[in-house]
Amino acid sequence: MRFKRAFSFIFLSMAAGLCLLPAVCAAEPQISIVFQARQAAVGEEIPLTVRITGAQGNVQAPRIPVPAGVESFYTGRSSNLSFINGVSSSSVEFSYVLIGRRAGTYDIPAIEVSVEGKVYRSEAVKFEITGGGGAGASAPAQMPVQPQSAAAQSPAPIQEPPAAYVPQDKNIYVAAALDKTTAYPNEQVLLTYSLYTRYDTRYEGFGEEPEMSGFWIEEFPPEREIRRETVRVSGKQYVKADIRQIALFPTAPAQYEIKPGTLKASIRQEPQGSSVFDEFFNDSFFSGSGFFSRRENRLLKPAPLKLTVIPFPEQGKPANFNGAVGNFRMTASLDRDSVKQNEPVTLTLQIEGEGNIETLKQPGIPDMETFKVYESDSKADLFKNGFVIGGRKTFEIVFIPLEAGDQIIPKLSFSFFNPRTRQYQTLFTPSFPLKVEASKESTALPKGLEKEAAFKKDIKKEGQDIQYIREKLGNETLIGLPVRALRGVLWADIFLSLLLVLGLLRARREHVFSRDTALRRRKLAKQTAMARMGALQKLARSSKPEDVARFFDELDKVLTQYLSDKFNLSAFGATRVSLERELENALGREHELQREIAKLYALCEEARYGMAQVSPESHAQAIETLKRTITVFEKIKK
Amino acid sequence: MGLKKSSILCFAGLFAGVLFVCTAAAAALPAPDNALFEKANKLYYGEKYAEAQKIYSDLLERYPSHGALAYNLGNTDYRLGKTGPAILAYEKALLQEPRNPDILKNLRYVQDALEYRLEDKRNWYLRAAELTLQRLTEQEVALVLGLAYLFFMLGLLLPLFFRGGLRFGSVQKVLTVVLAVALMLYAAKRIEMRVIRDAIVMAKKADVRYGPSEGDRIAFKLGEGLKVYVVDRREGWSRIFLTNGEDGWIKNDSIAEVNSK
Repeated sequence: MRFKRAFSFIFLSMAAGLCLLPAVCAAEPQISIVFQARQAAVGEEIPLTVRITGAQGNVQAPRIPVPAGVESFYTGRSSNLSFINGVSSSSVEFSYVLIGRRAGTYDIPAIEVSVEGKVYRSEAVKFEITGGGGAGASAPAQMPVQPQSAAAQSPAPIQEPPAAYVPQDKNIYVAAALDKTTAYPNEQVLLTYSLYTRYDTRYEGFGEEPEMSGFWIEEFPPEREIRRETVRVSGKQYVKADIRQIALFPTAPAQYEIKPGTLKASIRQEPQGSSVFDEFFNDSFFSGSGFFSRRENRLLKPAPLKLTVIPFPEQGKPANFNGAVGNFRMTASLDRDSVKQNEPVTLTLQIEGEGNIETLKQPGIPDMETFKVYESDSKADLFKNGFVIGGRKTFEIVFIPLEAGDQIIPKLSFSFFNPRTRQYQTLFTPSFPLKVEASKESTALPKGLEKEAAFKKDIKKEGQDIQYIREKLGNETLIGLPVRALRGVLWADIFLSLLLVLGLLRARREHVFSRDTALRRRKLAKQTAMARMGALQKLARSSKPEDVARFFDELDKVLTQYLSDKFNLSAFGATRVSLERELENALGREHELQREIAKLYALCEEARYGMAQVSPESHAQAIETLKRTITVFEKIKK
Repeated sequence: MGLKKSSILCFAGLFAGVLFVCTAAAAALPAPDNALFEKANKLYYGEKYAEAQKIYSDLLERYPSHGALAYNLGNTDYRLGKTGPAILAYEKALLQEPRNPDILKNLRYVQDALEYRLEDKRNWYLRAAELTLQRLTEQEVALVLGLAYLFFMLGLLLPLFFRGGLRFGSVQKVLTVVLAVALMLYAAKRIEMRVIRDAIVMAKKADVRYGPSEGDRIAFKLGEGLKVYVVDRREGWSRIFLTNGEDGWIKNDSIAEVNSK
């Protein structure tokens, strides 16, 4: 029966665990990597998407741990929240382009994504770069060409390498330059790596990645045909090629030092004469010719750069300014203009333009008594227009009217700072009138989404400080309780320890007695006699005539029992003769006590059978003799 | 062996009596002057932090067992910009009330603002052990040990008196393990409190040297408010360990021990 109950309990526990398992699993974000093609030629693009489903909160774009010989470029993100069959699901997708520089099979190890401080990993994936494959085999893939505005043209770097910078080999060096020395937070700063060379050179990628903490980074993929020009530096002719461009967006005002890392290049040893210069580079620069010829690898380290990021001007700063920098335009549309009460209507808001689109935040929504508001969806598409980062960010906001009648979704405003005009600009959506038809239907929320969770706003911490002082000293009794309890327990421990010692001694004595009955009788003789002493005293005090005989009868028994115990004789079989003999042995011949005992026995006999008149003093004398006997025999060591 | 029921009851009564007398007779903690405490609170509220700090400090010196005094002293020290003394006061408050969330929050808040940071390179089990020990007062650990011993003794005594001999069955084995664990916990707490003593750097910048003299070479520098572990004391110098594994000698006047009387 008990087994059955235990089995049922285990079974139910397992069943409950299995039921809970999907819920637990569903709560964990899932990361998957989607390749459009697992195989591409050298220089061809492989679009790759990292999809994260079930993630809550803000998720940063993960870094792709690409192996040497492959480059990766981030091209944008999109997030999505969907309600299907009453079940809500969210996903974020980060898009990348991989370009293989050398043929081979490559592994991308697990991609790590940090979601709310916890790191999740994808599975490792494989792809192959083949050696053949048309134009892409010998040149990097070309990114889609956008029509370039005047501002989007490759800007001329204005920060040249410092004069003190002396390359180790004057025939080849890399200069890193910024297109401006001063910028505002979140304003694009273009970092360009220019290779100056007098060798037959092949660019191999970054040796050591640049250190750019404090910046949001967007990298431009290299062009298929890298533009190059012949320049004269310190009287020498070089081929200059802008091999890499990175857009930097500083996150906060500060003085920054950018360590541009190191770049790898392989060269053919001898510098070229100017006469064959152009022809030579036309054939070999970034090309596959001479691949099997003897080459030497070089690590080229550009000098560090400095950038001053100044704070935004306070003058004219709108209250809703959220750090957006660039040049944007905003459009908005409502999916319908009439709706039933408690039914959702979606406002789609699109902000488009030049600037760091990733960091754009949704325009603030004023508190509305007549609407519940829910931020449903956002999606960012990144464009690289020449050397300017831009894009489009779409926000979907769900409004649920709570009251019937003519309602208005108010204007929403979005402010940004335009670094070109150095002024703030504020854009407004139109206000949207909405006819709301009365309905008794309750708000339809997806399953698994509590009403409070869906519509409650997040509590934002405005600042931090220490907790306030304590205004009361606290309950003295409670403060001292552990100390008092400890003292009590300690005393109890001492008491129990003593008790254990006593118990062990008693146990030990019992053990010894159990093996030696004579010893037990001898040692316990006094205890046994004294236990009966109370009854004797009572009989002695009694005035009833019949108690006289009972007293002496009892005294006889006590004395005989005591002496039998002491001499290890049977209490029932002990005779006067045997007792006298033992007394003589123990006390010696003619001992006074022996005589007194003999007298006492005689008196007992006479009194029992009523043959003598017994005075009241006789009782006391008899007890005294008994006590003396016990005292004397207890002193005798045997 | 078997004792009479009356004897058992007698023992139980005696036990309960001793327990009661000891618990009731234990002297209550001396209570600080509440009026003075409230006066300091009013001064704090009125942003007169220096005056409030003096009163809290005097009270704490006289009544070190009151965590509230140390906590309020930490707050006033922090308001006065004294990071090291504030951290020291919070650590003292934690000795009395190691799980108090306000003390823990304030300590973490002040530590976050420190100029120097120490990486904790110790093994996870050492960190976990320290965290566990720090969440218990010495009295609480002693109480755990006392209770474990009490149950262990009962586990021995009950069979001795009721069954006539010592037994070492499964119950006694479990109680022995519990006692051993409690004993280890107590030993660890004693080591933490008496042997490896926590201390806070009180100087703005302090040199830590390879030996206990000015002539020894500087190993590294420490900033105010950092926690160190004192393992040895000489005249004027203490040998300290850091959580990142570094060690050295520091001048005694540059640090203050948390558990100093």
